[in-house]
Amino acid sequence: MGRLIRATSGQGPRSGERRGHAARLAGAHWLLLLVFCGLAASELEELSVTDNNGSYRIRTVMWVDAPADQVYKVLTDFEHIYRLNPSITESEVLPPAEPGTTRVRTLIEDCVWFRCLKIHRMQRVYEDGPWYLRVETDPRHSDFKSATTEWWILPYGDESTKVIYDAQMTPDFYIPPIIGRFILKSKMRERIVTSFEKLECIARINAGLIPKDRFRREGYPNTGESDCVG
Amino acid sequence: MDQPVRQFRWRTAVPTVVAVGLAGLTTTLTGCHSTPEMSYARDVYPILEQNCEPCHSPPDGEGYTTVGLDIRSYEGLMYGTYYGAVIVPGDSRHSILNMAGEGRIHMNSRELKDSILLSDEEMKVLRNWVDQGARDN
Repeated sequence: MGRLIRATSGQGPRSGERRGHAARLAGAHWLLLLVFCGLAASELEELSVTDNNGSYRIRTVMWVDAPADQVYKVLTDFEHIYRLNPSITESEVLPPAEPGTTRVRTLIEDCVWFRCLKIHRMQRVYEDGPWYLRVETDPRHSDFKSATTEWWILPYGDESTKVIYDAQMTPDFYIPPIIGRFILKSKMRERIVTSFEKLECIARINAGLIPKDRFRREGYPNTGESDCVG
Repeated sequence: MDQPVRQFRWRTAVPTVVAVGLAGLTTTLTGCHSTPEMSYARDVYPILEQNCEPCHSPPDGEGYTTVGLDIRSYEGLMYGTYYGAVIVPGDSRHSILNMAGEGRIHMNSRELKDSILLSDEEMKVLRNWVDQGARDN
């Protein structure tokens, strides 16, 4: 897998004219890399988590070394959505409320320091166009007052995809003031990077870019960093 | 007639109180660890063999050909699928093995759910084994 720090938005990732800009950005990205402490976020182009009056916005731009159609397939494989988020302990695809949509129920169990949370989420997924997804959370069946997520999956060449993730959410569970916000934002950053790594890993396996039996060849036990799911 | 006055005997009372206290403490501690130790060979494998092996066996089992999970051995189980581990030792809530066996995932597929959903007792065995560290014992 390529671990190059890539340029900002615009043309393809290997555009020569933007190498200088990429180099300038490298310093800033290094800081992020240090913060994420080996989470291999080196293909991260942008990651920001901001909060305002109880609402949070996460915007991420990531280069994924896998074909766009495979990336899209993994993102829309709702039955195996737990593969992308290791905090999911329950998931269920429900009958659609309206044609062309998918309803997905998930339960997330995660601990932040000494506080563990169970977060219920009912989402409706709209697949608009070949490379765009919009996910709306139903507040009546979720621990969110509101939440909307948008995904853009932009193909670049045969094996590279630019993925833009933009989410806005207002949690409906207690978050301790000041320190709680800081910890939650840190956790969100960590989780989104992990999910992108898993997304890339699974998409590459499905595309045949990683041998399916690599775990067996790399040796037991299979709990290393190369693991997509565990 | 006057009743004989019994003297409080410290030499008898103190050891008695200590003994009763220790007995209570032991009972409490034993109660906290009352879950019996699960054995992979004795308790877990028979459940997997009966419920999962038909699909998760090479070369033609559907679960093996689609995700690569081979549960015929402890090593195969711990290797997991093409995508990674299905067991998080010590954490049955986040282990895919337990999530699937308890019907917490794949719930939309009635056929799959009916075929892999375990009995309450079987779920408990797998849960305890994973929570105890998923050892090869």
